[in-house]
Amino acid sequence: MLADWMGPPPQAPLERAMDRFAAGDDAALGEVYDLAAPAVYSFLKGLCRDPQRAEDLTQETFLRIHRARGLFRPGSPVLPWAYTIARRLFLDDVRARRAERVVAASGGAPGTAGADGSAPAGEAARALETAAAGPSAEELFADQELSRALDEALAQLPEAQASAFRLLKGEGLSVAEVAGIMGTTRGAVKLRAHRAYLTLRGLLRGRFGAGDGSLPAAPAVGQAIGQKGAEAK
Amino acid sequence: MKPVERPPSDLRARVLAAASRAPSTRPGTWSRRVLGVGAFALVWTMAAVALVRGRSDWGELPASSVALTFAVLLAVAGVALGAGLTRGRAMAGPPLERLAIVVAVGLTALLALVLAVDPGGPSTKQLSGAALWWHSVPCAALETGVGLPLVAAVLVPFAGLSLARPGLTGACVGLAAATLAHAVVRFHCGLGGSDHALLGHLLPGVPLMLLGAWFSRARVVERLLERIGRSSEERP
Repeated sequence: MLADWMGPPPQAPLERAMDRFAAGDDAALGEVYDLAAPAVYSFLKGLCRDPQRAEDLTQETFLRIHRARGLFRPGSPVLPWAYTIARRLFLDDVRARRAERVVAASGGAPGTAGADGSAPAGEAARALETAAAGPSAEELFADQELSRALDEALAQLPEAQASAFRLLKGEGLSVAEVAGIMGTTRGAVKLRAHRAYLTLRGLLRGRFGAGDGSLPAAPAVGQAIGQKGAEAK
Repeated sequence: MKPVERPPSDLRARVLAAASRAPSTRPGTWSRRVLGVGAFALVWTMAAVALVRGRSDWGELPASSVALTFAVLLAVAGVALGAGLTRGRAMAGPPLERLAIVVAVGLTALLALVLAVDPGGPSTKQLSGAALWWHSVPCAALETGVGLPLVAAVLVPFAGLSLARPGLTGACVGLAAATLAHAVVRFHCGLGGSDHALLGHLLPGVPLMLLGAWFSRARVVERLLERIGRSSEERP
């Protein structure tokens, strides 16, 4: 009764845009894209580690949203829906590629652009270029190195653990939302994220804790993921 | 974690151009599909009931066990349909916990019904041995024949949605369809005994549920609809 008196809760711009798009306003798709695409692309790029594939899957995600606009329930949160579609497309893509690899048993070209981590010099140069604007070159380089190492470590995790960790810690969704996206229970999401955290901590400590002075020390690694992992327990 | 990365600037134009060429569903499609499925399920079940005719010993059956049997069957079908046929808060289908509970409780209720309640009268035939198996085949075939179109129909509303648990959602709505088909067979079949009810009435529901899971996972209904031709609810 109080809710009726107060009226409907205020909606976020993305939900408002999606409501208009679902109601038949074609022009609202651009707004939906502008508000949701960065998060979707970032999530997919993290899963694929291949910008071209991430672009293709982002495009397909928005086409699915376009096709299913008449099925959208007004007022529903849009990003969890977009993540669900994106993750399902990614899993289908992985299966299709695996099937292709089985068919072409000789195997394709290893590695893809940006996935082999073979361009540290370029990243270092970029870090140096932007150093004047803020932190020191060493800090920027260490941040980039840590970020890349974290991405590489995430790529070694099972997809379910990596997705749970990314959605929960990277995209900032709630446990309930991630459970809805992944089609599992809240407890399973917490467990996956916690396992991901433990594995990531081990992998990154193994890499940075060896005493190489040019790389971030173990405490920095722990700081990078520690708080996030602790929340997942 | 890394900050959110912006997609390449040309991707926006590509998405909008592709969307302008692709068909999309009209507002209110979900409600229309659900109403359509409800109407089809009702008409199909009623037509099947009219076609197969009631069992010959119908008049001498105890009213209480008949009422209990059909009440449980309709309740399981209704709950499974209600729980499974939903978009969910995040448009990813019903939550896992709800699906798991409904499927587990529904199957348990049906098993308990088949084993504990046997609506039979003095002239109801009881079979055993090979005859039990042979006379269970027509019931199983009838249930599969009635249930199969229902399984496909209840998955139509999901066409175009990316479900988080497509297999379990398909199994849940498959349970609803199988239970309705079970009710039709129960109305028609004049054989008594829990063995026959188990073999001829309950077990055929399992492949129907598995079929629902497969249809949903492999998007069979969605692909079929696309192949048949863009339906009238889509616009160019």
